[in-house]
Amino acid sequence: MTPVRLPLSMRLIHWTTAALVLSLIGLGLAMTDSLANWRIAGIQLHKLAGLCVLVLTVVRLSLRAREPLPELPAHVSRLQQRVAGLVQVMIYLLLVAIPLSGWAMQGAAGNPVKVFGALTLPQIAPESLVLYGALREAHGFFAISLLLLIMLHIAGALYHGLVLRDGVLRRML
Amino acid sequence: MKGLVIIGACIGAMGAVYAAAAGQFSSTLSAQKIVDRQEGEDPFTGFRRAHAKGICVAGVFKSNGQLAAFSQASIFEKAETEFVGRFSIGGRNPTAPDLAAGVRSLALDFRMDNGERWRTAMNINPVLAVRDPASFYEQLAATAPDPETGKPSPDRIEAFFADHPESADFREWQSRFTPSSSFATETYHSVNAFLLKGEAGRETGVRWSLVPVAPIAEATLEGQDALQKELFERLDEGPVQFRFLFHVAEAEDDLNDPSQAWPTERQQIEAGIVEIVSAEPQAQGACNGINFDPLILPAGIEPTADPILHARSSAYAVSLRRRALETLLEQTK
Ligand code: HEM
Ligand code: HEM
Ligand code: HEM
Repeated sequence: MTPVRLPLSMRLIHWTTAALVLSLIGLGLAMTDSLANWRIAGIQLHKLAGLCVLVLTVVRLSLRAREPLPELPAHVSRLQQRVAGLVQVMIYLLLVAIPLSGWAMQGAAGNPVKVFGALTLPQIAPESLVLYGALREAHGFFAISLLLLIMLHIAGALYHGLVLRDGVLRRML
Repeated sequence: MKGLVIIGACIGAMGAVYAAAAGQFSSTLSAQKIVDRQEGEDPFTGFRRAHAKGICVAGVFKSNGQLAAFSQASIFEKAETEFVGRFSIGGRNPTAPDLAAGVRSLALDFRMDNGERWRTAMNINPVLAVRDPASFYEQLAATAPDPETGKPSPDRIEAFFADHPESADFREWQSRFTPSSSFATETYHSVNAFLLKGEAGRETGVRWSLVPVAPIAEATLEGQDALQKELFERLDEGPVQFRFLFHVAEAEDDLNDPSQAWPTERQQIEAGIVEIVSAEPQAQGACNGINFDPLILPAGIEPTADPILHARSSAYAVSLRRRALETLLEQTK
């Protein structure tokens, strides 16, 4: 049996996104309360990398829309497929909502989002303290939710790879 | 079975790494801890955790072009830039009497034509009593009201200063300073130093200050909001102006130490006139939502490595987050 794998484009985007997101959450948590001088560079990097995730996710969703993922092996139960599918949908929603909330909260605080020095991105939310309050809390809450879902997702992937050894993990490698 | 153990270990390790990133196992000083001390036992919800009482202003900076050779920031070209600002007094209490405050402040948020913003929060004291965040944190404890008397204890403050010889310049300023009868006749200082970036990589260390154009007037002020009332009356007569002065550091001036005064003979460059034309109460005012984070800078002005400057930025973000959430909850009630 030749092992089924996802298209190379999907695999590349998956692992790039995974590396970015896992770093972004750690950086986000570490920088918000830090008094250190690296914080300001950290925030700039965080914004840039976060916007890259947004772009990658849009590309990824359009790739998926054009070409659905190959079917999972027959032994994976409907329930399992449902749960895995649900986790993936929620991950996708958050991969869009988190960077958008980050970008929008900068607008609500009246902070220009600058990329590569010179270019200032458009402000996507009006300046408002109340709106900042909502978006700032959403950004933090969504990011923690994403982290928990990712842990679930990784546990599932490893379960396929280490316990069931059914080739599902290999689809992404 | 072995597989499950590996999975459990992986997920557990992951949780631990993120908890560590969030500072769960760390006892180092953080912005949260600083702001906890600033807000005190029962915080004034919805207000800034420092400089809680203030008044919004708006106006225009008329640049004379003198600083353009030192910084590429477009605001220093010969042009006008609008700003929203805020006069405030130090302290956590949004209803404190204006005249009792030891610190008066002016913060500005310039809105540049190219979409950039520049924020600066300035105080009447030209230097701080400390040069690092840990000492600032100690100072907050030393100046906090004593639970028994409800007032700061002079002994503890004395002891703090004695432990911190770097506070000499601050104390010297404090001993000769007499407050004037108006926000409009004080001099406001950046305290922290910044780097101007000019053409061809030219780099200049500076501090800046706003020097009042109006002469100090003798006046007897009264009331809880004496300074705010005086400002409204003054603005009815015409704009309030300040000269925007930049002090150029020399090699022996430590850019990263906000506790040391620079010699008065340092080169000064006047960049133009800051003109305040209107004021409004801060509740619902244009300045209320603004976080005057001193590290919101345009290209052409950069932070120094002064640790106080960086600590400020982090603490202001924490204060903003708290008051924004409280304002949101208040509105949805
Ligand atoms: C997938 C993308 C992103 C992830 C996973 C992420 C994650 C996080 C996390 C975990 C935090 C700390 C939250 C907390 O302490 O409550 C944070 C803070 C922050 N994020 Fe993001 N973020 C992303 C994208 C962005 C983007 C695109 C921007 C802006 C353009 C942004 C701006 C910020 C800022 C400014 C903070 C600090 C706020 C403060 O100091 O209070 N983030 N982010
Ligand atoms: C680091 C450990 C990770 C492993 C071992 C892993 C493994 C996998 C595997 C095996 C699949 C394929 C499932 C299938 O074929 O249907 C998959 C899909 C997926 N993974 Fe991960 N993953 C990891 C991290 C992440 C992270 C951090 C994210 C989110 C930021 C993520 C988001 C997704 C999504 C959205 C899918 C759905 C398939 C797609 O659209 O590409 N994964 N993952
Ligand atoms: C480590 C030192 C300092 C800390 C931790 C600190 C902390 C804070 C905090 C938390 C706020 C409230 C921010 C908000 O919610 O918008 C604030 C406001 C302010 N701070 Fe500081 N501060 C420090 C040093 C300074 C210095 C050196 C200056 C002046 C040069 C200064 C001037 C101001 C002013 C003017 C405001 C009020 C801004 C406004 O009108 O909104 N602070 N500070």
